[in-house]
Amino acid sequence: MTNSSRLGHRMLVAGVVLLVALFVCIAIALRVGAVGIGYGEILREIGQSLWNVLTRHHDDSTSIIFDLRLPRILLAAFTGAVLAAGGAALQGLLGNPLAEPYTVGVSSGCVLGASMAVVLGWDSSGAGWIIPLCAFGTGVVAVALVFAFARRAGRVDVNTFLLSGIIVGALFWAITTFLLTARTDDLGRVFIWFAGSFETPSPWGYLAMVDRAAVVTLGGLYWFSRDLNAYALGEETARQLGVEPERLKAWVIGLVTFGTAVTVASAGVIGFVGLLVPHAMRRVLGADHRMLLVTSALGGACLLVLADALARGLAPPREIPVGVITAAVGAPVFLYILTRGSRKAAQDRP
Amino acid sequence: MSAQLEIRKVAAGYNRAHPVLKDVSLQLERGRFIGLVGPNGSGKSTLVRTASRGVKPLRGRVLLAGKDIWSYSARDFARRVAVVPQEISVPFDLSCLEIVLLGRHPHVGRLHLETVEDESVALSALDVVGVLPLASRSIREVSGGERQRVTIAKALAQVPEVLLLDEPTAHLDVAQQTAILSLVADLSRERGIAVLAVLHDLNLAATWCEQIAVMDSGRIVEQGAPQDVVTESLLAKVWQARMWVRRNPMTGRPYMLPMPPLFEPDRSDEGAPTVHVVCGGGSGGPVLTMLMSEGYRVTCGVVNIGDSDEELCRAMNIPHVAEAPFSPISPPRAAANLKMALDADAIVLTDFCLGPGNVDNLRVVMEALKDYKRVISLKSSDSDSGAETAQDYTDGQGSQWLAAIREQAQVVSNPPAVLDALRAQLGRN
Repeated sequence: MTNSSRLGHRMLVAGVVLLVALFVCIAIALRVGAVGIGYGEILREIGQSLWNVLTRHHDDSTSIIFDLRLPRILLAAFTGAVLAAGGAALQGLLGNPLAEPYTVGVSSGCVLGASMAVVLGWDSSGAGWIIPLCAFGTGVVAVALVFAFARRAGRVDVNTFLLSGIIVGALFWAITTFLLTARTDDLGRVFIWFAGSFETPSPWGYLAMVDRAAVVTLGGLYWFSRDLNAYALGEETARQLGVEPERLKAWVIGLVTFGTAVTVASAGVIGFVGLLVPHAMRRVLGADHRMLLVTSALGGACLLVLADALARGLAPPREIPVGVITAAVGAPVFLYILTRGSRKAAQDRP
Repeated sequence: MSAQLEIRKVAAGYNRAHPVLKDVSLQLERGRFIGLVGPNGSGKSTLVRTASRGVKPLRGRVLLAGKDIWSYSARDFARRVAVVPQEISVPFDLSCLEIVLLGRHPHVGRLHLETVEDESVALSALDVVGVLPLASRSIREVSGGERQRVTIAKALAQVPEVLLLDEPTAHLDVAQQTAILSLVADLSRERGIAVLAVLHDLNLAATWCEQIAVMDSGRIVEQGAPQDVVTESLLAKVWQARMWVRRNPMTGRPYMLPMPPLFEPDRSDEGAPTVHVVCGGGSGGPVLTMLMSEGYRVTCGVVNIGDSDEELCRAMNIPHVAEAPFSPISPPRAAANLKMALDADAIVLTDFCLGPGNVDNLRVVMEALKDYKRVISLKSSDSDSGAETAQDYTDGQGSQWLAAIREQAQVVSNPPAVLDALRAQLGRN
């Protein structure tokens, strides 16, 4: 079999396998929660609502599955897809497996904008897009700062980039914290952004925002997937292969920041998804970004759906912030990649 | 034929006030292989970057098939011009085939997968550069030479009209350097690709390129066939290097050998003792060189024109008596040799094959011995093993004389021992 048809074939197989996995994860997550619901009841509810749709019957009663759990699970899925694909794209752009929205300062940048919108009362105007818009604005500023620090003579030095990502991230956290000390009454609302959580009073409302943003982000990143492959050989080589590096960088960073901003606005900062998933996918399926972006999105969705189920199910009725769970899993993996990577780099050095 | 790539009066660089390229014009035709050489910092890499749209010219233009390169789209340009850098670094585990398939990037539509045709182009490129068996291996596992071949295959997969290489052999061993350049020369000839390669090694450039362009301080100071360009005077002018340029007997191309600073003629001061070296057949080189480096005044005779000992004498400005090629030593030459020998403070006789043409050199040494000249005879270890007669083509006459000389002379076994003997005999440090 030729390589290209092999790639198409492998993408199809991997896609189907991961989609099935995602459905399994969603099915598991539907059962988890403070109120125990069996699969029989879940199936009955699904049948009931299908029936309602077909007969155009309007039902006013609240359903735990449909009004609380399913939208929340879908929210987690879309968020995971955006973060993981964003991480894969950033890693390709920076040529470093440690990059992701969380480590390069995008997430902290977005939190500042979102908190500002809350603290300054801009969100009370009612438009749902105010918070994500502010989050996007500060997210872009954060990335621009990181890039400005990391750029030396037209090249982005990887170590400097990670370092400045951490520094800018800390700076933005500090500003956010300062804002919050001024307005302690908003602390509770803003806290979920710090820790990351899908606990929200209006999951369908957020979902309506996040699903569109996810489609735009994922579609946009896939559009640049082969450019990212060429970019892996370095900016100069990519240009010689017909890629316009400045445009690629602007688009990929813009798209990742946009996607991250929307997820931050709805669920706060969830770290390590963008790190873990692309790394695992790259090891199993290779570094071709066409494959990597698709499988990372699906894998990220699975991961966050499961993480959120854990968040709800570990100590009911209390909820653990989902960011705590991803960090608990992700931090050791990050350390592993970091030490392994530096050892490999040391061996490669002549 | 009109030039495929034409660099026309280009000034370029990173600082407008001090451009790296000052005024460069260069034409590159299809099927041509031009080597770009020059000292570090002369602007070679900048020229390649300017020609590959890495740097925009400050003045002047670069034309591809008659059109300014900046008027092409990035994609169109990548279909016509490919670049091979010194080295590629790949942060992820891509296979060699995946790397080469990236060369198809400008030919494949967005959101499309590579077709079977793209893949066969990539595979045949891998085949041409001789690393087809590595197709599915990770680029991070292969050796430097193999990696560079993969990079060239990637460039070939672009199916370019113009191939630019920036020191493609900088990190390779001797065998790989030759293999890569011979491959590039073949590609240029067989596929009609116009090739411009920045090369650090002048010998490689002179061997493989049809033409050499020499850059110095942002200008092309010389361009032409290697034998016309690579000369001692050019090397002295552009590199401030004293090199010995000879002709490679296998290719007819020039090649150069480094000359250590010992060849400065003024180093042999007036008070230094004079040593006359009797040599021939390439046997005198090490002794002549060492004596010069130690500051002796050196004379030499009789050597035949065309012999490497004679070439060396000329290169080092050593006074010497030369005889016509392949001719026996004529009486006037023998007399001149004797005079030089008698004028010297000591005589060194190197170990060379004896034949009717040069056996008279031994007679001069015998004459000098009669005059109580100090003679040091070099007897190399090869001739220790009873092979002396095999080196004698004079029916024993030569060996007989040589034995007679060695009875009275100080016999040493290698060139450094010659120096020790001279120091002892002449009382010189």
